[in-house]
This record gives sequence, C-alpha cells and structure tokens, in this order.
Amino acid sequence: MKQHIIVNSQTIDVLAVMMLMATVLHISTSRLTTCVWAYAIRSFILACASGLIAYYSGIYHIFITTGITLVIKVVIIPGFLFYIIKKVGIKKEVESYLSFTLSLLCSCGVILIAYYATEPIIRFESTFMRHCLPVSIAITLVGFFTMITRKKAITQILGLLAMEDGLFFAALSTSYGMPLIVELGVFFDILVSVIIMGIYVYRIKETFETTDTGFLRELRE
Amino acid sequence: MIQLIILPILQIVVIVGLSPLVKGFINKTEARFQCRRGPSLFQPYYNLTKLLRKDAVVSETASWIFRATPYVTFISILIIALLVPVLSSTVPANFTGDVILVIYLFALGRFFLVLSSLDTGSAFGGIGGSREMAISSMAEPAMMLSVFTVAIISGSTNLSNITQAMLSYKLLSPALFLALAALVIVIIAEAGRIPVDNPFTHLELTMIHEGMILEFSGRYLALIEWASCMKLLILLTILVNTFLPWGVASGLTFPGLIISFAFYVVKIGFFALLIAIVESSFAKVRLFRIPNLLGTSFILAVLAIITHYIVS
Repeated sequence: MKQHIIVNSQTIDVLAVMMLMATVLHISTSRLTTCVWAYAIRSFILACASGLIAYYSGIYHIFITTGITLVIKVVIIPGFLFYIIKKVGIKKEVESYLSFTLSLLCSCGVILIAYYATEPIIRFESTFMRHCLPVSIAITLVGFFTMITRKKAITQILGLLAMEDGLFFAALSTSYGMPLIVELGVFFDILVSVIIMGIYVYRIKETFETTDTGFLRELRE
Repeated sequence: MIQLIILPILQIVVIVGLSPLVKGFINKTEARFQCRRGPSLFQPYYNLTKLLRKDAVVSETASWIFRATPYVTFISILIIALLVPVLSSTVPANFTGDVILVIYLFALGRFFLVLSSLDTGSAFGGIGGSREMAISSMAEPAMMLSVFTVAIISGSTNLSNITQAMLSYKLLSPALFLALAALVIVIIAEAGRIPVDNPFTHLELTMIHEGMILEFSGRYLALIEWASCMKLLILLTILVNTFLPWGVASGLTFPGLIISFAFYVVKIGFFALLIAIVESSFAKVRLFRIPNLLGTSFILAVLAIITHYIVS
C-alpha cells in the first residue's frame, strides 16, 4: 500500500510539472490560438490529476469536480474563446508591454519566487505530492503576471483563467479540494465571468476597432 | 581486452554507419507526410559515396583552415562517438572525459566550421556563421543546464555513470521530465532541424548550416555532411541513453548487446519519427523568434534544477 501511494504521488507530481510546462508554453508562444490551446491542455492535465487524486484518496465528490472541469474548462471555455477570436477577427499576435525575452525571464523569476516561497512549507511535508503546491502557486503568479503585462483583453482573460487553475490545484493538492458547493460556485463564477468578458472584448472591439485595453485609458469625446 | 577492442569498433560502426540511415528515415517519413514517395532510405549513403569520389574545388583565397575544417569537424564528432554510451553503459574512452568534454567537442567542430565559412570571404558564409554562433550561444547554456540536471541527480558528470545510475531509476521524476523537454528543444536547435533551421533550403536569407557549408564540395562536403548526420544521431543517443536508458546492456555479453541494439533502434526510431512529425507540422520560425524558443528551453532547464534542489 505504501509503495502504491509513492508511485501515484509521483504520477501526480509529473502531471503537476506538465501543467507547469503548459504554463511555460502559454507565456512563450506568440500566437493567441496557441495560448488558448495551452489553457485547454493544462485544464485537461488538471482534470487528469484531480481524477487521480479522487481515485487514490477515495473522496468521491472530487470525481464530480473532475467531470465539471473536463466539460467547462477543457471544452466550453476554450471553445468559447476560439469562437470570440474568430468572431472578433483578431489576427495580430500576442502583444505585451515588455519585450518577449524580458517577459519570459520575468515569468521564470516569478516561478522561482513561488518555489522559494513554498519551500519552508513543503520541507516538513510528507512525500505525498510535494511538487503540487509550488507548481500551483507558480501558475497563479504567472497568470497574474500575464494579466498585468499583456495588452489584449483575451490574453488577460487567459491570465485570469490561469490564476483560477492554480488556486484550484492548490486547494486540491493540499486539502483534497474545497467543499463541493464552493467548487460548483467557483465553476459557475468562472464560466459566467469568461462569457461576460467575452462580450466585453466584443464591445471594446466595436468601439475602438482593437482589443488593446491600453486604449481604455485614453479620454475621448 | 575484448572490451578494449570490440566496444570502440562497435560504437564507431553503429554511429558512423547508421547515422545516414537516420537522415534517410527522417526524409522518407517527411515525404510520406507530404504524400510523396520520397527518396530511398539509403539515399544519404548514395550521396555520400558520390561526393567522396569527387574532387574538391577550393577557393584560391582560402587558407589552410578551410582544408582542415572537414577533418577537424569529422574527427571531433568521431571522438564524441567514443565518449557516449551507445549499446552498453560502458564507454570506450571513459577515462578521457565526461559530458562537458562532449559539449566542448561539439563546440570545437562548430568553431572550425564558422571559421572556414568566414575564410572564403563569401557573403552567405558570413551570414550563416554569425547566425550559427548566435544560436549556439543561446543553445549551449540550455543544453548544459539540462545535462547538469541529470548529472546532479545521478551524482556524476561521466556519461557512463549517468546511464548506470539512470538504469536503476524506475520512474521519470518531475525534474528529469523538465530537463528532457528542455533537451529536446535544444537538440532540434543544435541539429539544425526545422523550427530553427531548414536543412533542405538553399534560399539566401534563411539558411544557417547550409550557408556555412556552401563553399565546400566533393569529399570535403561529404565529410561535413556525414559529420552533421552523426551529430544528430549522437545527440539523440545522449537523449535516449541518459533519460530513457531502458534495455541498455550493463555488461558486455553478446545477447545483452543484441537486446540493447534492438531497444536502441526502437528508441532512436521513435525520436526520429518525432522530429519528422515536428518538421512536417511546424513552419520554420523567424530568426528573431529563435531566442524565444531557446529561452523557453533555458527556463525549463532552470526549473528542472530548481525543482530538484528545492522539492526533491
């Protein structure tokens, strides 16, 4: 049994690291559609990890959240984002306030901060899922970072979604998730907020002929 | 005694003999993806024999560096072929050096290639050389970091010891996983495959490796082409035998070597197929986007080391 737990925690650790890699893909790509793909891939890995955690921990309400993750985060939200990208007709690539290399290096620094900040906590933890906490904090911080530095409204939505993913994974890996009703509320929130922001992107595009949120700061007649 | 004689010969035969086949396999697979029949699997061998029989034309302004370069490149790669574990975790030239020597022997061959590209005074050679140096200055740190991650985990920079230690590692740990991803990106850049450099093009503005070897002909060209085939195979060998050393023989028994060879062919074939798929489905990135790609690889390698130190 002991051996069993070690093996599956390593599987979950590898899945966590794969989520981190999907996040690195998210910050390193210059194409908007690849960003959305990175989100879909990360959500899929998240669903796999939460399914495994549910299976090994025997807490079966996590299966419900896994199913909802698969439906909402892997299918509906990426599909909706692709639909918006197509509808708004965004052809330009990802734009950032920082240069590309600088933003890559900053994200690397942010991830390192996450690792160093969580180090005192995980040092005393048992071997079970030690990689998950730093990875989830890193994903949250990187999502925050992309929200701050990216210009397009859609990339900011993706940053928010990354933060939500990170927090969800942190809750899942440290305390086997929040109560089911809270999870349902969060899922509903994220779905509604993505749809509202999608409409908002469309309105920005209609008013300013661009989805660059920098224009919102300018005074207009 | 047997180990002293058989193993070096075996490694040289495998690396030197099979490397054009890997290239042929990649070309054939790509042709299949494009719904063509493609050249024969053995086309690189035909090309090499044809080139070896031809005389070389050397520019009048070229110095001795130009004539020495093909030999330096070829021999430096040949020495690397003796330094990496191929079929057995025992390495013939084990006593001479470790993975750092391997990286710097690659750098030596590249250095001479760049010098010779400048030597003839051709404009394309200069462009190719400067681009090659720019890319390698970014690829080298990422490669070092990802290889060092494995070295730290296994506690030795000696490739033979690394393979030996990794053989007892049953599961891929998260740090190794990150380092593997970083190394795959670096290998594509180092071998000059598609997202970074197009090995088939002779268009002035895009070629990197082809630009450097544009002035070579005849047997010199054959040696350089062969060396670049061997470089790809050796990089793949380092990848599979340090990260996924399943089936590598730890002793030197005959059946062990046969099994090891079968595993080796399957693993190399898998990664060659992966390269062919990547080349068929991605376009070459713009030159100024290459730092993003290699920066990503560098970050993955840094994360690998950090993950190992902080968490494991």
